[in-house]
Amino acid sequence: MTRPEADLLQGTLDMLILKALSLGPLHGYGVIQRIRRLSDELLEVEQGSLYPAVYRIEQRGWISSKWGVTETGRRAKFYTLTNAGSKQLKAEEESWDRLALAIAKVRKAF
Amino acid sequence: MEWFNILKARLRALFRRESVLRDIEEELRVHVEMETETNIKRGMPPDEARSDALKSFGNPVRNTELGYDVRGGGWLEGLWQDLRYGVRMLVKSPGFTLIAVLTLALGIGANAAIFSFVNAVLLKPLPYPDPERIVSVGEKHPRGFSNPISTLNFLDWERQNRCFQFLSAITPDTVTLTGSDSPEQLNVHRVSASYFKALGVEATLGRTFAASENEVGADLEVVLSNRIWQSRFGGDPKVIGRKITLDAKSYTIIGVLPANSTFDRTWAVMWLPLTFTPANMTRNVHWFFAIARLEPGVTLKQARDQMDTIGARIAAMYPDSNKGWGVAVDPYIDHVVQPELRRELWALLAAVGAVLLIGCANVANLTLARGTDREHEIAIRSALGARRLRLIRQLLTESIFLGILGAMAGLALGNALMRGMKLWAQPDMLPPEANVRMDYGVLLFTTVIGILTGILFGLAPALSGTRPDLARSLKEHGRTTAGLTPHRMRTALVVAEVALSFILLAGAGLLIRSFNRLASLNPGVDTTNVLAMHLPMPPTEFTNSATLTNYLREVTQKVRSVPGVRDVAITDGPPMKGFANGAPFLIEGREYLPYPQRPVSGFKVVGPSYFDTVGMRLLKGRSLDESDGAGAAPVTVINETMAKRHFKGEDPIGKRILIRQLVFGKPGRGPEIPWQVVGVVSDEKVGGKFISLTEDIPVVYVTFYQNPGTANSLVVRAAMNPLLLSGSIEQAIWKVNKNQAVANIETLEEIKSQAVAPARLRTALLAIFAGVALLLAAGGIYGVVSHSVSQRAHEMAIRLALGAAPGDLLKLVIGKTMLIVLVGLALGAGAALALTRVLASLLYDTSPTDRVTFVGMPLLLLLVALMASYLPARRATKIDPMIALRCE
Repeated sequence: MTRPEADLLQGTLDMLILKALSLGPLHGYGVIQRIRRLSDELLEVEQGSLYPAVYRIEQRGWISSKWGVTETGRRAKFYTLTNAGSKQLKAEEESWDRLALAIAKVRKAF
Repeated sequence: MEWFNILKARLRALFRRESVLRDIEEELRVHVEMETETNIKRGMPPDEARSDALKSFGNPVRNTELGYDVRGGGWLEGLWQDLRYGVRMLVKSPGFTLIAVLTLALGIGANAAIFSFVNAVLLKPLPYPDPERIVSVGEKHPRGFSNPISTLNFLDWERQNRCFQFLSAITPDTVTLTGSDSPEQLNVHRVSASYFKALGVEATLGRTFAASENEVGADLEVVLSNRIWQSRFGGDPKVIGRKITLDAKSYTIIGVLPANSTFDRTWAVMWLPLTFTPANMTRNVHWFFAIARLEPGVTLKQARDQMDTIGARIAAMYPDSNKGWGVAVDPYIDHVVQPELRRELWALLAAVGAVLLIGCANVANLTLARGTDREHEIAIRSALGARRLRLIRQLLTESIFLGILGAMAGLALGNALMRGMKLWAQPDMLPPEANVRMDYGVLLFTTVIGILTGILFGLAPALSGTRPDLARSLKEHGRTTAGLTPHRMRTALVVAEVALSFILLAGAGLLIRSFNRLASLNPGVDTTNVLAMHLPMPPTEFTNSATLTNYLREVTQKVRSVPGVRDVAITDGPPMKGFANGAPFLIEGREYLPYPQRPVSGFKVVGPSYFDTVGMRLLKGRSLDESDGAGAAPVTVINETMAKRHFKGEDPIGKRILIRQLVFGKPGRGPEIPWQVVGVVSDEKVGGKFISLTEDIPVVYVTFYQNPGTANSLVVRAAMNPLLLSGSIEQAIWKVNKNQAVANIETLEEIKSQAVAPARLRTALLAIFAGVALLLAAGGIYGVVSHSVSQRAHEMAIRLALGAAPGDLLKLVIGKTMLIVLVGLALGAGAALALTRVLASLLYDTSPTDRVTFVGMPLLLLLVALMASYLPARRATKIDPMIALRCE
């Protein structure tokens, strides 16, 4: 039962997560923080939507997971970008750029 | 590959649900702790930090569920849940489940049984390599049909053809096996050496024939079927090289054929080489068949064209024997599976399909009835948020599960039915190539039918049981007037059941009338207390015709002297077993016809006492007698059909019929003999493998004194049950010749029964199916009326309280039901009138729109429907209005 806007949001969220992980392995909480940092506090991922997205991406084989230990000695599940994932990230970035270009053209027309 | 990973993950989640859930919980817990830490670092007090972290996260249970939903079993787990729920519900209503499964098992089982025949006979290819390249080859009669083959024509085909990789002759024969206690007659096939190569069959022990084994002298070799190897030779692997005595000659066993193959199920038990002796070398005597394998790359059309050319060439060179004759080349499967059998099997499958549909309708009605009882439960689940699709999916899962249960029970039932049918059917009703059994094809078919059935009877009730306006039913729990949609559906189902039953009843009725006519057909002979038996004689046993006729005379006299025997006669074939020889004839004085274009009559060689023994009437002139001996003028007695057809309007007595002589000891034909007609007898039915029992055939009869042959049987009329005398008759025969094998001892009653056996089997089957259909339909009507009465008990009570007589209520209920039944009858009658045309070729002397059937069957249906609706309707009249009104 997804609404169209949710679809767009879903795809965007996937890309953000992949991008976050492209800079190095992270646990779920860390992903939220990194996205916040990278976007200069503009993007705040809702915690309720993070994990379903992460699980979905994992099922598709774009990220892999392993239980590990944080710097503070706590046990957490870490996610790493896979080869397929980095290819997917590149593809999504390209299609996002195309979309932005198209929208810019339309905007300029008026 | 992605979907594969997803499937793997889902399966993992399904079967290790607990560990997956824990995994997610742990991860979320850690996340909350980290958020809490951050909050504390920002300066929040610890409690607030934690509750704030939790809040921002949302409902943990819901999150876990969401997480599990994505990672977890998803629809697979939903299916499992549905299944478990459905099984629970079915166990809660054992009555419904039992009746439903039994009804389905009945329908599905019958389908499985018939399908196993359809599969083995019609759907599976012949069990030979590249079976579509095997053809049957025969001589083409000027009138277009395929005919047995003559030697010289065959040899010319062999020499001249380029289209056949192998061309082999085959002919049935019997041999006498001696050497053990009593001589035994065995059925064999004599075949060319290339026969097994043409079929593509190899021996499992030893070998089949080598090319040289068709020459006289090198032909004393025999191949055994696996069945006789086991039964008579004990399955001894050292049987190869052993010698046995057939027809007084010593044969060497050279091979054994594969087990459980065509060769175990066919008429012959051994295969011998077919050799052409110089005496065989004619073009006029047609005595064997042939099969061939097309040369690789040659199509059927090319082969036909080539053989047409060769046939025309032979006809031009030898017009005397071959003018107008050609060569017939047809796919072997058309020879193996007759069109009539094809039609019968499909008709039977359609019939059991109809029975299954009726069964489905009943189960659908039952499900609908159960649905109204479950309306409350479904309405609550709906209000709690269950989506309609999910509800429908659950209900369908239940029905499909029921369907599969029915299919499993049906398989067991069908297996038993299939075995019963195999036992009942005579061996020659089915092609030996067909191996009828419950194999994977049948299993698959049954499973698919089970699932489809489940969907079929479950869909409509599921759709109607989950309609959106259930809020109403919540309010009026128990007092719904059964709604419009389920009611309409039930009515439609009853109409369909009645229509389908009518179609089956009409078909069965027609077949029954036809079979009655067939069974009471006058065979032309008096079949009471007459015994027939075959006296196989190897062709080399008698050196000249005089010794043979003396032998036959002696046997006749010895048997006549057995106490209890009223009369006995020699004949070349018992009644209703076809005729041994056909004779192209020319009536003297009429327009000359070249030999190959002459009409053919049956040519029967009998002892003079034959007509009396079997009970044929002399209509004109005199019968054959002992004075018509070897030196006297050749005389014949013709049958009524011969007189009517070929001597129209004139007296046949004294006329002469020219038939080329069948020379004793040689399968060729001799000079033309003018047989003088001295009498006319009533017809005996000819029958046999190639002629329908109902056809009238012209036959000429001559005595064995004037035309002896080695095909001889005895018919014996006894003063009591003739089987009691068979021992003494055999003894009498052995007093003349202790090595005379006596085979196929059967009464004329048995022969007649065998002749109509195929018709009997299909009539019985269709009658059984129609009966089951009628019962199911009656059950359906009963159920529907019963349910309706209980649903409308409230209404009935009010009517009674307002003064309605019980009779009025009865009329109300029954009247409405019968109206529905009439609609079904009308539909069914229309369909039946159109469909019974299909049975036309199976009916004897009965029209497909036979009035008795089309009046009688509706009456039967109406009567049954009346009874089925009366019983539950009576309950309506027994309702105590006060009690019914009180229970609100």
